[in-house]
Amino acid sequence: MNFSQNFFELFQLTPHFDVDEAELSERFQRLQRRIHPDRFVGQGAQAERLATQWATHINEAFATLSDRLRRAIYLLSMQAIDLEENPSLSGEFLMEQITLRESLDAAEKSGDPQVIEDFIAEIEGDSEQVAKAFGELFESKAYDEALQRVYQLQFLKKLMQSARAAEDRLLGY
Amino acid sequence: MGISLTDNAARHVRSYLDNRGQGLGIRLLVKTTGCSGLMYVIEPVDQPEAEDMHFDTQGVNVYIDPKSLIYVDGTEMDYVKQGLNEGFEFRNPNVKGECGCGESFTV
Amino acid sequence: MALIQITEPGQAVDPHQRKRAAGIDLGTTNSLIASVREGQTETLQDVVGNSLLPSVVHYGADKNGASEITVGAAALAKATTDPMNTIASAKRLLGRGLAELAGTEAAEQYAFVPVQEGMVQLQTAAGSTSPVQVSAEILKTLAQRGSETLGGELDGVVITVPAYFDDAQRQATRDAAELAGLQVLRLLNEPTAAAVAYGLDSGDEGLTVIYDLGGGTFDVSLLRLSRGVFEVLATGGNASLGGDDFDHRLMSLMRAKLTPDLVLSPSLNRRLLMQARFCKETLSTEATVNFELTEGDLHLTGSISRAEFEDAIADLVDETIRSARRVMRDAGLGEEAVDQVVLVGGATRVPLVRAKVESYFGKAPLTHIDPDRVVALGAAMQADVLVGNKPDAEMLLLDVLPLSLGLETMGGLVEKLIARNTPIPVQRAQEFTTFKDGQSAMLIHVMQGEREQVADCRSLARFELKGIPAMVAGAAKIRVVFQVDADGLLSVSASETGTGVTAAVVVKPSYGLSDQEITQMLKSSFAHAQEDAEARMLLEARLDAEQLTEALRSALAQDGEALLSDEVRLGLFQGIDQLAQVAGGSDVALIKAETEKLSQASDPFAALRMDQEVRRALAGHTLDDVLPVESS
Repeated sequence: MNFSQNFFELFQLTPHFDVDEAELSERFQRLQRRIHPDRFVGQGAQAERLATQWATHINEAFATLSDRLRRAIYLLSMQAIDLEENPSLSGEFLMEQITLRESLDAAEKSGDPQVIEDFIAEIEGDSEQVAKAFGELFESKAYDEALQRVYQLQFLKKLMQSARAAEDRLLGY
Repeated sequence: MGISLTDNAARHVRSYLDNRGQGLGIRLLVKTTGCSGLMYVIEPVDQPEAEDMHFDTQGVNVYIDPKSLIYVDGTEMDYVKQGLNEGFEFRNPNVKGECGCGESFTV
Repeated sequence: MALIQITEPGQAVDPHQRKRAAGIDLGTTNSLIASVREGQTETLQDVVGNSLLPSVVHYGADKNGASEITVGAAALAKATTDPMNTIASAKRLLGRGLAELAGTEAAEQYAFVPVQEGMVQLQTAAGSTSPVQVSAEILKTLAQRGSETLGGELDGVVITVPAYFDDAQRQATRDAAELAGLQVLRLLNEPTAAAVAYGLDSGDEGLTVIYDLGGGTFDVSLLRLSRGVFEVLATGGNASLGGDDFDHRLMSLMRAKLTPDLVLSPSLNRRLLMQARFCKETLSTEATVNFELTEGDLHLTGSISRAEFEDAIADLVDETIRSARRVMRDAGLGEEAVDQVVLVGGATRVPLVRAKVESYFGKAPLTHIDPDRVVALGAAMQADVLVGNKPDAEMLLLDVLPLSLGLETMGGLVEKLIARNTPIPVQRAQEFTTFKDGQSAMLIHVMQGEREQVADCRSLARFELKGIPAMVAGAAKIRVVFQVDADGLLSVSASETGTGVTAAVVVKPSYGLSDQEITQMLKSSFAHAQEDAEARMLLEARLDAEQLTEALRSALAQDGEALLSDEVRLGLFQGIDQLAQVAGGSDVALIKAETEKLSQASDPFAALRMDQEVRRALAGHTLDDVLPVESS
């Protein structure tokens, strides 16, 4: 199996942070049409197994490239830059995070799902800003600074997950 | 005489070829099979054969080998929906009978 | 005359070589089988013209004590006279343990065998049976109807399951099919099947919500339909909520109206339940319904209004709307983005359900394909494609995992490895380490569910990874791999990778059956006496061999010259001839060994072909920014 191509090569896209999502999705479907295990039913266990491996690989590639944060991490890894376990972040950013955590707690205590919705929208807005900054830094090869943006995005993603969990609790899901 | 396509059929052939990414047109074949003897096959054509008969109908290239042409001369091809299914339907003046399962025909 | 499709040269299927494929909707209350014949998709009927087979099995004993099994309407007729031996709604018991069913109606209705662990067993006049065996009886009856109508043994079936079924329930369904001797092409999610039937019918594209309220299960799925691709964006539901619950609510209401203190006999209880079902159906069109119950001197009457019924079930319907809201949220979309809403399942005939769905989505739901049949019809279409009758079909189903999968970690918490709504097939790995010096084994506990605590999730399997080399705490690297296949079935393996010492196990869910158990059941079942089982094994081995040689022959014809050296090609042709010769004999072990040998020999070729498929997929559709494609 030729899994040596990187995910961008697999979809025949140049490795940029800005990805045309419609085009990516179109190419993903084109690939799945050819190799999805459904195409190989009854052609023997071996063909089905290979198809499952390829379909899994293509799903993974698509999941990586269609998610902002995962795409950013992947692009950096292609430049041999890996994330640290405990990165040092600016005090300013950490203070901001603490404030945001506090407003999330307050939002949950309010008992109003709309307040959490608004909070989520705010975090989404922040994430978009940071992602945009990452894109610019990455294109200008300022990889160290780009890496800092990835750490920020990670924080914001965790915050977003906590907000969703709080919303779940509030709505009783 | 030859063969003709309805608007719908021509549209479907064009979109099929577009999706496929290559192909000059379609080939219409009649093969022997089944309880009543003959069946239709439609295939995309990348390279016509020397002896192929060529028809241009509704802007679609249709290729037929001389042996098959005897059975389908004068046929109109339509693209139709029947309930949950869609596909090409052949209105063939030469057909005398169809087999019980409806999948093949005699001339 | 059947409709003709365009096919790639040499791929057209001779009509009389068409394979016999069917879609089976194994429902809680009723089951159906459907097939594509002469280009038409239709549900198959029994000799008296019924499509619906009541999902009921009666276990009796004749005067000599031999067991007598009846399935369908005949079994249903015995429900009131012999309730304990008449198993209905077995789907609700599939993959479930005793503890989970405590306090349910089923626990009141049937005699469960007191087992320590594993799936529940039912005590009947014909001995103990399991929900898997009950389901297998229903599948056998349907398969027989299929082969009688289609004129021969079925080549393959697609069986539908609720999208919200967890791994144990899916595995149990597959086990039932194996017991029934069926070749399962795919397990298909019910809402996805319904989407296929509607999508292929209307050709409509866009965002489609399938609201599927069956007898015992509720599913809601959001799909994006475009040019033959059915992409599931999110799914949710409740694997134990359905029209049966409406019946039980209505029954309680009727019981309270009749005489609240009266203790009903099991048989009277069943009759009241059947009356409740009838009343529910009547209330879909009438404002009130009268009912009566007689037994001996007892003669009771009463009446129920639609408003009373709606009041009694309102919270259940609201629960389904909440699930729908969560699915929309998971997909990150608002209700206004939905292009069409489709109703599936008999319970969606209840007017209150229709009203609430319409009010939530702000548009009238579609119901023009019979909600009882639509799932079986969609499954039949998928089966027709999978079995190979439509090699040119553009249809592609991209489904997702319904419930998150994870592992138990320290402190009784669940660490998720694969989140719900992740497209399948999928594989994820995670590394863990030992927490004691010299620890030589590690317990791996596989969980499914959304909650954080182990106690709130479903335990799928426990297994131990043994033989970890002695190391200090934290030094070992235990890599746990979750693989979910296109059926949504999970396999887990674990290995110690740090030192190159590898031990791996593949697990089946603790509520499933082991391969030995299935073999045992097959051997002991009446329809498969010893010779039968052996004959079947030979048949299956031959089929596998035939499948391999056929697939390899056609692959060699297509790509052999382009991808292989003459030497390798010749070797494979010889392998084919050799296997064909062996398969003509009756030595099962030899056929299996030779099949395996040829399969391994052709592995590199298959991989090359798959790589080629991937390259071709994007060929001719390149943009300016395209990188040169690697040639291999």
